[in-house]
Amino acid sequence: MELIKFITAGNVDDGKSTLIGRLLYDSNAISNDILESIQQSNGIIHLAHLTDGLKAEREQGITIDVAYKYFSTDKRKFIIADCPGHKEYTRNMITGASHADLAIILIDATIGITEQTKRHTFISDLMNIPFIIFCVNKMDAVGYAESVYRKIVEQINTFQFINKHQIEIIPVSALNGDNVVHRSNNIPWYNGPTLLHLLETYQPIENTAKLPAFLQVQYVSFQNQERYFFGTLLNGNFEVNQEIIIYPTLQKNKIKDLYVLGKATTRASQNQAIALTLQDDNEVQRGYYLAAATTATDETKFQFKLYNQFSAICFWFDTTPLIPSKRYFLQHHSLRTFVKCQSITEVLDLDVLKFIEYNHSPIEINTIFKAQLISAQPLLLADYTQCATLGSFIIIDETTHKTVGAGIVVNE
Amino acid sequence: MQDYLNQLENESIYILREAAGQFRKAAILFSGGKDSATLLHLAIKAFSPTKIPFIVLHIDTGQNFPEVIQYRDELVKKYQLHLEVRFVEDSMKKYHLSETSGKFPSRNALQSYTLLDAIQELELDACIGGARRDEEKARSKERIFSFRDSFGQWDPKQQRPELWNIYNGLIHKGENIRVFPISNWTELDVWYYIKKENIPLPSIYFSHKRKCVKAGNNQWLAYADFFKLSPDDVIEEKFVRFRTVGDISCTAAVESVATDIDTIIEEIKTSKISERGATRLDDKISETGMEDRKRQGYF
Repeated sequence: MELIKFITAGNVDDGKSTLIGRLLYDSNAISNDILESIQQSNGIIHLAHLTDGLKAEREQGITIDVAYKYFSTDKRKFIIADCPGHKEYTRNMITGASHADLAIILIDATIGITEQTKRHTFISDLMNIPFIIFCVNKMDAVGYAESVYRKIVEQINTFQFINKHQIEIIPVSALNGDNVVHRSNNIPWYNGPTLLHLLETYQPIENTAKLPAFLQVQYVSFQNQERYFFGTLLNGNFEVNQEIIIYPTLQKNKIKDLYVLGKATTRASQNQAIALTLQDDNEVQRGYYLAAATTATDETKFQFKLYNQFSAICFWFDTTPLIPSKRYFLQHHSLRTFVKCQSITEVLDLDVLKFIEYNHSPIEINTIFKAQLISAQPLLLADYTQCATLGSFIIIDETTHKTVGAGIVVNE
Repeated sequence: MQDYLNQLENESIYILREAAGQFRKAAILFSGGKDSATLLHLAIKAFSPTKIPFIVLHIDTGQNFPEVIQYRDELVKKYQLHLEVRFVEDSMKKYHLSETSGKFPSRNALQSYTLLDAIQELELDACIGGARRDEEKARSKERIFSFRDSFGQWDPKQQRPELWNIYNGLIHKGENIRVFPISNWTELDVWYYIKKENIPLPSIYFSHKRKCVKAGNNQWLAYADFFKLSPDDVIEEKFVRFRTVGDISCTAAVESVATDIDTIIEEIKTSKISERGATRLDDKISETGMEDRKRQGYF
């Protein structure tokens, strides 16, 4: 893997923007004209200003929306989703987390672990980000004291996680550059890796279940007396003449022709954007799934299942509260159907970070809740931790067309 | 390198197919620059062996590099594209608009009028553009599917959250989605890909001898007849190439002798000036130049 996407999360004043600025600056990703624009008259470079984009943000001195930044080293290309730290912007953190291979959570060494730290960790855990790096920042402001770092490490070790993660805790000073790109002489008691070293060497563990190869049909084109189906192949290979099952109709068919990036081929592999034709003339629309037919002997493999009713952890993003009896659109990647909230069972208490029984108060913006949902069409689902693609969806208001919520499937 | 370029390519193709699946009629916005050339190449690959399901729309300011128009027409012929051209000149007459005053009159900001009219006339529900998030700080907050209201406005505070690779392209009549399939590419990624895929480019991307006029501190523009020059303006023949392709009135030249892609890549890697910083006069008007124009319906 050469392309790594990560999020950075932290409190408003934890120095998140400075840390990103430092990563970009020390890895030579900043050009002179941009440096000039963030340099003050006294010559001091304001690293934090590398990430604040919009006028309103500069006026308020905060980050409003997820900002994407890019840098490369000789080893890898990185995409950073910079997520704002305020409580009211939980939705941005979840948005960023949905794209992340790893999370960097900042802790201000002068303050220690806060409620926000716990929230960001909880969301990273919930969203099943496999690797979490805690950066204990502003070590310069506490005289690079090992005791401060140790105390924070002890606290992190008491955190309880729902999912499995790799965890690292690094003492840094984003302002001075200690342990970000370059190893620090100020922190001789820390022998672990620098932040950039971790980013460059991290190897994600495949912790998804063994699913059969499948694709969701994104687009159907009828040309030259032939129907072509387009989609991205996940979880394995497809071959010409291979038997496949069409979901949700459960009809069997065979692959006739295969195309990878415009070229005819006999075999397509994982993560490739492909096109194919089928031998028999079954109904296949946008949103349908085509999956490799598994053999009876293949019992260890995960079995695909269709659901009309399922459990999910949902996130509410809209200023108008959820109306449980109302019909919404659910978009499961390329499939759009109706959904209703049959019952809400639990709501996350953001202060104690525990799901508590639902007391029928309105589901407001930034609420995280567990619900039973009913969809108008059967959906090919899997638990989010087994397959992020099959286990994720967004909720859209039918009249305003706004993306009002999202969810991850938790049937098991 | 190869590995992540494949990853970017597959991601972009996924986005293009979502656009085809979700919209009734979409247009690729084509400027003739390297980003729109890359976009078009990706679209052709995405839908091969069938024809691309998009029209190609060029908003013509009348201030083009002639080489770019020639290049555009060659591509249209080669891939049998459905090209629509709409002219800023017509919008200027219709709405009594004037170009900027000064030596180098620019029509760059007026393109929004022509684009909005074209969207309405051609009944487009989506426009696919080659903008990248690394280009400019306002772009770094841009969605892949970016909503525009019926006035063409972008409201950065009211953007739809975009999770995983699930794109919400639902709109009402008159509204529009801008789709940006190469959002996650950087300038260098585009060049590596052009090299790998052998994508043809307009000749002005490579070093050539050209009559140039000095436009400010170390900035040179390609000479054009419509410039309002005075006798003390400096005109020189120089070896230049262009790092971006925009209007002739606002795209500065880079002094270079690079005649092949490898040398250009080396020059970009060692250059300490960003792409838009080096070449775009239009971003320099104010610190929030791009943000302001985007809010008002710019690409």
